[in-house]
This record gives sequence, C-alpha cells and structure tokens, in this order.
Amino acid sequence: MNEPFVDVTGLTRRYVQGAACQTVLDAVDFTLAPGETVALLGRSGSGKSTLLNLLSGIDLPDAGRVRVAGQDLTALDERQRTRFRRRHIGFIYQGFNLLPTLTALENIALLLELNDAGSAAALREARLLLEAVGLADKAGHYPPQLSGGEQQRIAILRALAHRPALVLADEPTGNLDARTGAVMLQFLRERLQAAHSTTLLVTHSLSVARTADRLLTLEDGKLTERGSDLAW
Amino acid sequence: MTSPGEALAPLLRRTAWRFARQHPWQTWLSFLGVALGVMMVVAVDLATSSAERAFALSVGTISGDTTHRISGGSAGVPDTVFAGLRRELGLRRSAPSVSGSVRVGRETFTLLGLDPFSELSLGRQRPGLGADAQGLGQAIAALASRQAVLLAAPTAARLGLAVGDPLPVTAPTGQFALDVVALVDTGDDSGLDQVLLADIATAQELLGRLGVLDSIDLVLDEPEIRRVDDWLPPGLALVPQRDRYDALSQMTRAFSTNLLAMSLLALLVATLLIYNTVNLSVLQRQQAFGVLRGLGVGRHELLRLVLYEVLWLGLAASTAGVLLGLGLGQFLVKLVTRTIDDLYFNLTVTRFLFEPTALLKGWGGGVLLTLLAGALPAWRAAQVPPITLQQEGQAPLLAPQQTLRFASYGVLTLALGQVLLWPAERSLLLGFVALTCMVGGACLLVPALVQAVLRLLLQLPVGWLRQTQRLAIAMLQAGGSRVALAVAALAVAVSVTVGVGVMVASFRGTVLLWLEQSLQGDLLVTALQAGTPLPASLTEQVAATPGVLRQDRQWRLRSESSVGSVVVQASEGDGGLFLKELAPEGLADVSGGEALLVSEPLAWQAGLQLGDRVTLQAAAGPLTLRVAGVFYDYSTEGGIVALDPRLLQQAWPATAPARLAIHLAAAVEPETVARALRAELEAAAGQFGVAANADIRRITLEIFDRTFAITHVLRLLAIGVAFVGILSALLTLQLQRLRDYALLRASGMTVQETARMILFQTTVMGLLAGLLALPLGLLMADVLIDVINRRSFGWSMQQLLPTDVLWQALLLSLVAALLAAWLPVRRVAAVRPALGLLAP
Repeated sequence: MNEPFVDVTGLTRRYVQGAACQTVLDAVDFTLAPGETVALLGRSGSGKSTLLNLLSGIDLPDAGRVRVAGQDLTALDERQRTRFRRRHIGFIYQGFNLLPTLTALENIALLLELNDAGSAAALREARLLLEAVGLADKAGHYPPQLSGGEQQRIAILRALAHRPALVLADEPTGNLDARTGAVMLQFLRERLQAAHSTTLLVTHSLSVARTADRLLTLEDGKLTERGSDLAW
Repeated sequence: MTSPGEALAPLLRRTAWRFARQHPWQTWLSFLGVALGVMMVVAVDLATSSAERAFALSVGTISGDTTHRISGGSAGVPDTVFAGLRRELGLRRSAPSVSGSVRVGRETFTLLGLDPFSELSLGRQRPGLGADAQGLGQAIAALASRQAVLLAAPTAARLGLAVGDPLPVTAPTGQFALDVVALVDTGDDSGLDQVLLADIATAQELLGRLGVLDSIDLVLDEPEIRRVDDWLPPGLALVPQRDRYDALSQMTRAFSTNLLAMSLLALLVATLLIYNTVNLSVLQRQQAFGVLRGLGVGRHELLRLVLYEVLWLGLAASTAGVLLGLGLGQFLVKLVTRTIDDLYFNLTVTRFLFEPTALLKGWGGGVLLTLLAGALPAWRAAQVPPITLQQEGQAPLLAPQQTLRFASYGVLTLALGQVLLWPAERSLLLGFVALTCMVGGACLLVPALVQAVLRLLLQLPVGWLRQTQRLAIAMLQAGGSRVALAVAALAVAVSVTVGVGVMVASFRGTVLLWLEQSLQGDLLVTALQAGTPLPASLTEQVAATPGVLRQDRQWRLRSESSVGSVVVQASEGDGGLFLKELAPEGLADVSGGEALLVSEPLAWQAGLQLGDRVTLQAAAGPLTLRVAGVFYDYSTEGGIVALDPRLLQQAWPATAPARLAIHLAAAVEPETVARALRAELEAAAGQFGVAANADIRRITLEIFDRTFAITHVLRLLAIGVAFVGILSALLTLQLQRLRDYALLRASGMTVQETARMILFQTTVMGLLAGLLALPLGLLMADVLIDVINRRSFGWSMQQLLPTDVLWQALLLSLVAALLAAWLPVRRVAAVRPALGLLAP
C-alpha cells in the first residue's frame, strides 16, 4: 500500500471560553492517498473550518499530529507553516475571494510570484493557463467585471497554478446556479486530474460529494468514513 | 517566502497602488492632511528662521566680532573716555559709535556715525567700510567731507538717489541736506536697508550729541577686561557683547517657539488624520488580507505592505507640504518680521531666506510622523487571521474593552502632563512635553466619551428623538473608533483655537488694564528721539496752555546694573504702575528712597524676589536698593526699574525729564489741547511729540493685534487640517453604509430625508467635538499662559474667560462638520436603491 499523502492522527482541538470548554475535534484519525479526492460533509459548526485550519497549518491542535507530504505541520513554527502553505496548499473558496485590486491574470500569477517564479515568468505562465481555459480575453479584467462562473474559474486556476500537492476546496459551486455549478465541477475535476493533486472537498451537496473518491462526515467532533465506492 | 529584509513581491506592491487608485477620496484626503501639517511646520520654521537670520545680520552689522562694549546708558559716554582708552590704557582695538533716528521724507532711518580709522583697528566687516586698508581708504575719502553719507545701493534705488545727489534729512537738531558720496553694494543679505552711514563727527552734529558717544566697542582679552573695569569712570559699564545680543535673540526665539507650538499642534491633528485613514484602509481590506494570509503571505509581509503604502504617502505628501510651506512661509515672514519689528527692535531685513535645514526638518518630520501614525494599523493588518472556509466578519477597530483601556491610558497621560507642569515652570521643553501629554491624553479619552454620549442619546425617552435620528446615532455608534477619531481630530483642532483665543484675549485684556493704569493723564509729551531730554522751558509752555490742569514729569534713562542693562524710570503723581506684588510698606520704602520696583520680565529673567538687592551704576556712583515690588510691563524693552523721582534726580543729577503726563480740566477736548501744544512746540524742530493717551492706547492695541495676526492664520490652517479629517471620516463612514442607505431609500426614504439624517450625524459629531474642545482648549490656554509665554517672555497675564471665543469654537466645530457633510450627502443622494442593495 502507498504511504498516505495526508496522515492525521488523534487530532483534537478544544476552544475554551471562560469556564466552558468545547471540543470541536475529538481524536480524529484519517488519511488521504496521493491524488485522491475526498469529500467532507458536515453541518455548520461541526468543525469543518477547524479541520481545514489544522490541515493548512493555520491553527495548531491541542493533541495529535498532521502530516502532509511527510512533513509534520505541528513541528513547524508559524513562519514555516505559512511557507509550507504557500508552497504546497491551494485554496478554493466558496466566495471566490479574488483580490479586487488585481486583474484576473495577476490573481493567478500572485502565488507563482510569491513562490519565486519571477514577475515576468509568473505572468507568462498565468496567461498560458488563461488561454488553456479560453479566458485569455478576460486577463485584464478586475474581479467585479467578471461573471460568477468566470470568477470561480479564475479562483480555481489561482489555487492550482503553483501545482500544490494538497487542494482544500470549500463549496466550490455553492455560489453558482445549478447549470454553471455542474460546468464548474467538470472544470475542477479536469484541472485536479491534470495536476494530480490530493483534494479535500468540503460540501453540503450530496451530488457534489458523490463525485469524490471517498466520503467523510464530521459530526460532534468525530469523523466517520462513509465509504469509498464513489467515483468521478 | 521573503524574509523581513527582502523586497515585497511586485504584485503585492501593486495591490497597494491599486487600492489607493480605487479609493481616490481617501487617498487624497490623507495626502492633504499630511501636506497641510508639514506645510505649517515648514512655513513657520522658515518665517521665524528668516527673522532670526535678519536679526543676526542686523546685530552683525552693528557689533561685528567685538567682545565688549562700554556703555553709559542714556547719558552716553564722553569723548574723553575713548581718548583715555587709547592714550592711558593703550587699547588700540576700539571704535566709538553714535546712532540715532532721522527722517527722510516719511521714512525713519538709523544714522550710524563711525570712525573709519578705529573701525580698521577692530578688523570687523562693516558693509560700506570694508575690513582692509583699501576699502577703508575709499571710505575715509568718501566720508571726509562734512555732512557726507553712504547708503545701501538698493535703498538709494528705492529713494531714487544717485551719488552726488543731496539727501534732505530731518534730524533732532534741524533740517539738513546731506551729500550722498557713495553707494554700498550690500548683496542680498544686509542689515543696511534702513541705515545711513556717516563720519562720527557728522552724526554727533546732526543728532545733537557733540562730545558724547553712544558706546565704544572693544576687542579685549581677560587681563584687559580687568584693567578697563578698574579704570572706567563711575556711571559707565563694560558689558560683554554676547550678553546683550543673547537677551535679544532669546526673545526672538521665544516668539518663534510660540508659533512652533501651534504648527506642531496642527501636525498632531494631521497625525490623527493619518492614523484614522490608514486604519480605515486596513479595515476595508481585512478580507483581502485574510485571503492573502490564507494563500501563504506572512504577517511581516502584510506589515511591510501597509508600511510601504504609508511611507509613500508620507514621502509624497511631505514633499508637497514642503513646497506649499515655501509659499506660505513667504507670506508669514512678513507677519513675523513686522511683529518682531514692533516688539523688539527696528528689524530692517525682511527678505525670505531659503533654509534647507528647515525644509529637511519639516519633510523628515512629516515622513516620520506618517510612519508612526501608520505603524499601529500596519501591526493590526499583520494580525488579520487567514481566511480558510468562512469569510471573517469585520471586527470593529476598537473593541469595547480596548476603548476602556485607551481611556485609562488617557487619564494616566493627562495626569503625567499635570505632573510635568511643575518642573516645566522654568523649562520650555518640559512645557511642550506637558502640553503634548495633555492633548494626547485627551485624544485617548475621546473614544470612550463619544461612545458614552451616543449610548446616552440612544437611551433618551421615545418622542425626544425621531426614529431616523435614533438610526443615525446607532450608525455613528457602529462607526466605532472611526467616528471617535474624527471627533478627536476636530476637537484637538478646535481646542487649538480655544487655547490660543483665550490666551490672546487674556493677554489683550491684561495689556488694556496695564495701559489704563500706566497711561497717566490725558496727553503725553515725549521726545521723538530716545534720550533727548525735555527742556525746562517746556513745562512752563505747557502750564500756560489753556485747559491744562496739572502735569507730571517722568524720567526715563538707561543704566547698567547688577542685573544687566535696565531702563530706570521715575514719575511724579501716582507713578502709573500696574502692580503685581508689593512688600509690606513697599510704596513707602520706594518714596523714602530705600527701595525700587522691578518690572515682571526683569524679575523673571534675573530671578529677583522681594527683598533682593539691585545695584544701579548711577552717574553719582553705585546705588544699591531693595526690591519692594514687581509691576506688570509689556513694553518688552527689557528690564525696567522704577524709583522715586527725587532719588533719580540725586543719582543722575544731569538728567532732565523725558516725558510729561498732562492732566486736562474736565470737558476739555484732548485733541484741541494737543493741537495747541503742537503749535507751540513747533519751534523745537520736531523734537517732541504730543499724543492723546486714547491714541496711544489705540495704537498699542493695533500693534498687539498685528503681533497676533499670524496666530489667526495658523488657527485657520489647523481647522483646515481637522476639516479634512472629519470629511475623510464622514465620507468613509457614509460609503461603508451605502448598503444601509440604499435599503432605507428602497424602503421609501427620500433623498432629502437621507440628507437630513447625514446632517444630523455631522451635527452630533460637530457638537461633540466642540464640547470636548472647550475643556481641552482651556487647559491648553492655561499651559500657554502659565508656562510657555511666561517662560518665553517673562509675561504673566490675568486669566480671562472670553465667552465669545468659546461660542466661536462651538460654532466653528459645527460649521466644519456641516460643511464636511456636503460631499457625503451628494454621494449618498446619488445612490440608486437597487444598485445599493447589491453593494457588497
């Protein structure tokens, strides 16, 4: 069996507020294989945000360990974790979260440039990506000048441009209508396959979840495997 | 990932520029705030340094590199002393001089009489005479003929004179036609603009000072100083030049200090403005910063990004401020030099001097303050948490517990300011630090006070406020620290007007009281030329004039003393002194010739207290008297001591009265008697003037008002900076609430009703700022009066509370706030309800 790309062991996170202590994640164990896409389901407040924060190194657990690509994130300091996130993790947000002060092209080039690609090379590569998805004519547009679907495609390109090993996607079709959402899901699947990225897909939608390789549910701080028979 | 020392990624830098471009109002208002603050500091600095430089040039023209001066007060120095110095003591490095005022047409010139041979012995640079033998030879040749004068080429050009032309002059001894024998090329910097140079004999003849010198300048070493001291006849004193000019330059510096205090307060207001706008820009980008953090941008990169923006703002705005300051400085220099001219001495150089250090100081100060003001918001930007799943809500800039913490810091800072005031009584720097602490402490208190008042307003019974007014207040409350900072900026600016207004009004009121008490009688006859005695025949002429009831003679002369050069005065009648403090039986002791009274500035500068002793170098020998009282004096001629007239006549037997205070019979018009007296005195060739005391009072107040004209300009500019601050805060507040306004419009609120709501908000903000400004302004006035002016000038004042200044401050605050509402009202009125509802 291949070594897991993401290996989470005994992950526990509690929030203390005054005398009250709430355990949001309670000794969670799971693994993600390289190139695997896993859907994560859970109600609001079930701990999905906390889990993503811990997987991306934004937060640290009270107990347990997170290993991504062989690196124990809990052993890194804040600066090293930021550096790791920049290099190895891609985020796709429900609300797109494109930077309004940068054009579509610059939004995609940003992470390439932050990863030392060089300014001109980053813009060149971003342009190639835009051309590949037929959005070259939108290169100079600012986010508010793009449609929802266009914004999400730019957001996906931004998340994948620097070829991250792990992609964390939050309801990537949540802000889109059903038809655009379906197109976007297809687009995302193609890009993820091309990038061979391991993906954790947070969703409320069973139809979206069904497109993943496996399904995990988070309830009352406990993670449950729902099966691995789902395919793209 | 970049380390702290590495350059920011170009695309990150681009986000900063684009944000500035996408928020032009915010950017321009921040720019304007810094630029105006820097402009004020630079302009005041340039204007005052120009004045100081002009002063130094004037002093340099008069004293050169000499170390000491022999002076005999008003009586002057006999010619024989100069001869004695050379023959008996063998002191060759000495030069006599005589100076006095003469009139050319309607202008007054200083006639400076010199001995060119002696000047060569001092080796000093006198414009027109030169320091070398060749220059001197030419000067001697030029001045050899009787009644020859030299004058500066620019002055000659202004008067339309050329070499060889006659120059009609009215001197104390009569009318003369002098020969212009040469013109002096003075270059750009000269103290000779209003000076006529003549041979000493010519000057003595014209000024009626035959056989008498004003002073003798010397270059002495230590043993020579002791020899001269021992040799000098009674009534003459050897004074170090440095002491004489230090006192004068200290006064000009003190004046500059007052102006600088005001310009620094304006810069403080600008700093609050920068803090407010940078903080706001961070708040507006909280989500973008969160996304950047999520993508892997480090904390220190965000910190550097905001500091990068602030640095550019500081660099650009400070540069603009320096350029604007150069323009304003040219205007202010006229006001400053006129003031110094009125207050201290005849300052003839009014050219604007370009001071690179002043520009650099203003520019550097602006950049540094901008960076300091932006540091806290930049740190806050670095604390923005990364966004992963959910979009983070926008946190208020100041949480309630922070507001309380700020308020407690404010109370501590205010208390520190009060503590610092005790030792600050004699330290100008500490006075400023105390003032800054008080202003800073008050600013820290503002957020808590504003929140408390808004909460109180919201708790008013139903019916006291309309629902839209409640909503407007609730929106202000939601604006949090942004609203509080705008109110603080306006409150500080308005408090400057209150502080300076109360100080000026108190000062003016005190001067009025002083004039009432000092100006005895109804008319004053005085010599136009300082030091010219009134002849005995004059009192007979006055007594014979119809309408004159009584006349009091007044003596006034200059003497050296144990506390420096002082004016000695005595007066018949009630003495006309406005007493500040008096020892028991003090007046009886003065009448008995055992004590004297000293002016307040002299007591302050020399550290004199009741019971201390002062020795005067009287003509009849040293005269030591006890200080029995202190009187107010704002004539700023330096120290004044008052004696009993009989004692003065004994100590200076040859001294004649300098002034006559004339009391008129009731129902006699002073101007009628003044005209009659002027006609009778015409024979005295314009040596004496007759003025109604009412006119003197009016002219004195005119001079006073001119002196403080510059403070009004600076007050207006400080208000301008605050206006920019409140406009910026209001604009951003309204723009952020665009969605709420659109919702209100969509619910049926008209444009007029929306506008009224915004005007109500600005009225509340303006009133709050105005009310907060009053106690802060009064505190500021207290510090200005008790510490800064007393330390600078030695003046103390009656503290008055002019209600008009307080009302004006409230009105000013309201008007500034209402004017600032105009633009937001227009913007909000233009919102289309449907589009507004779609706003993010």
